Amino acid sequence: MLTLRFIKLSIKAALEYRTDFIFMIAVGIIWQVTVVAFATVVITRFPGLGGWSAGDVLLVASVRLAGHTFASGFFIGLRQVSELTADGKIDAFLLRPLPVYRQVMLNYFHMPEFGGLAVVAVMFAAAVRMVDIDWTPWRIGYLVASVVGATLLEVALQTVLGAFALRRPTVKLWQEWTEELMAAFGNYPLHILPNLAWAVFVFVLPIAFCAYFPVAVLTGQTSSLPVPAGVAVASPLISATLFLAALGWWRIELRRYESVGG
Amino acid sequence: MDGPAIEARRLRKVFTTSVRRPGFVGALRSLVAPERADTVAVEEVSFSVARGELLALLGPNGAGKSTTIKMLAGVLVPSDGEARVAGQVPHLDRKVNARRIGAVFGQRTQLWWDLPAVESFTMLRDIFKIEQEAYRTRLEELDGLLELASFWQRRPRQMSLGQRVRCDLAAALLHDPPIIFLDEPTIGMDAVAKEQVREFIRYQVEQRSRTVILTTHDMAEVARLARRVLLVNEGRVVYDGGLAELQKEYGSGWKVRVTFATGEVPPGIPGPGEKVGDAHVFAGVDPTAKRELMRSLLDRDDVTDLETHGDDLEDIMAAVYRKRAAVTA
Repeated sequence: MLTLRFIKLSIKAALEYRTDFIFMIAVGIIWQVTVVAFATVVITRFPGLGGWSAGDVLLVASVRLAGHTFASGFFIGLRQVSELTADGKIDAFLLRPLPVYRQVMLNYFHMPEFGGLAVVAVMFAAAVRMVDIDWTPWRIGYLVASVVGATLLEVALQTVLGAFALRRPTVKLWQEWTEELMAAFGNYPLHILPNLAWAVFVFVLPIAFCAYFPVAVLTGQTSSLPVPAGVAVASPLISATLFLAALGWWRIELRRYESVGG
Repeated sequence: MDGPAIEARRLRKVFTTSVRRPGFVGALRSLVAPERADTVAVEEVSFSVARGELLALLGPNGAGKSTTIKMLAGVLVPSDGEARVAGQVPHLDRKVNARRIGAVFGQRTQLWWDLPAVESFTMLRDIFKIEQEAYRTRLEELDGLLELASFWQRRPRQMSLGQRVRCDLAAALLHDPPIIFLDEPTIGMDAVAKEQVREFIRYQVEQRSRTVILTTHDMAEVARLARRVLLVNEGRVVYDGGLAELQKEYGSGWKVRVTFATGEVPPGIPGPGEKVGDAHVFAGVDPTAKRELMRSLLDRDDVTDLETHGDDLEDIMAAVYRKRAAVTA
């Protein structure tokens, strides 16, 4: 499989510079320090947030961070579309019998995410110990689906913006802002925010579907949600649908691609 | 398959850009009510290339050469007209087209920046689904022609320009495409590397019968490789024909380069001549004037060096553009 082969080659290439490799993993861990700090504060200082226990909140942060780690690891290329266009790489991708989107994925594997994965593992371990959930096979399956959904949702948003970046280089700033926004608000139960803010995070920039709604389903707190329980349960499916829609948008924008330099 | 390898019919490409108004207020106005303008990069370009032919696509910067190649390669969608490469419409059958073409854009690489070049080759082997035995044979052949093995374990960022382009040429031909697009493949190279790439291109046309479209600003390269040239200017074709015919039609001028022992043009020599280094260059289009000049020079003892030749290709191209501009004005 090309993706795995590419990751293997990337790791092999990175290992040739051992100090750099270790540094990249360390950066991945340090990069998530805000999430770790947040989790530590939640666990040690507060009994919970907005009626949710510290464990519930930590589970929200864990699902969000896991999704982000996979999205950044495999799809970091979407945030480089401006540079890929300027360097003529998109031109080169169009000359190969493989979808351009997949080649954008294959262009670069974000090594620091191995460090991010270590943080995710520690957070999940802590959250699972703290939450009061009977881990039936269905719930374990739903948790996995939630992480996949969180990944696809972040990828969907970056895909929509990345498609714009094929012709507008400044969109990269919007991509960075979106990631910051998801990192800032995606770790919380969003009902602690004013109504206008959570409405934005449900209907405009649907961060609520990333981890908040799925964890509400897992912890049985759907009655306090601003959407019907069925919608919350369908979060991973909705994220997958948004991802497919984003892919459609990518294809439309790719047809309008104008290349650079003549 | 019968018919030409490449066919362009009334190809047109228009780019829409935002017009920035001058000044701060103008910039704000552009933000609120952006003004759009169309730039025609390629206008009604028609030509065909037979299988096994090399066509030199020439023109000044911004003439539309690269845009034309990108439409033929399936990178850009034409605004109007039709392109067919090996019978397929490139942008509609992009993946099929990709298997039939190889392309090198001299100033950019299609190799993975952080992987050794040889690993990029194996990635391309998998992407193009090349069988292992065929891959090994082709890589051996390409190594024989381009001497890649001494540096293919390096990453592109650690290579010289010449090494990087040679790897790019190999990468473009690994899947054995019958059609190749080369957009300024020798730009910025030293003479030795240029010569190696030229020989490689010649081999691909003469020995492997590949169809090649080559763009270059190096007229020595054109003279060495091409029999047919397509000149474009401001998006339009201004000449399509043989190189020899082009020289015959537009290159009737002469140049005589003389070095005098005194360093100055002695009295009695017709024309002032242009001082170029130690020498003086006399030029014109009238053959009688040339004969008169030569007679007066050959009888002199103070002529230390004498060289005569016709217009070079750059002069000829300039003459074509001037003549066509005068016609369309």
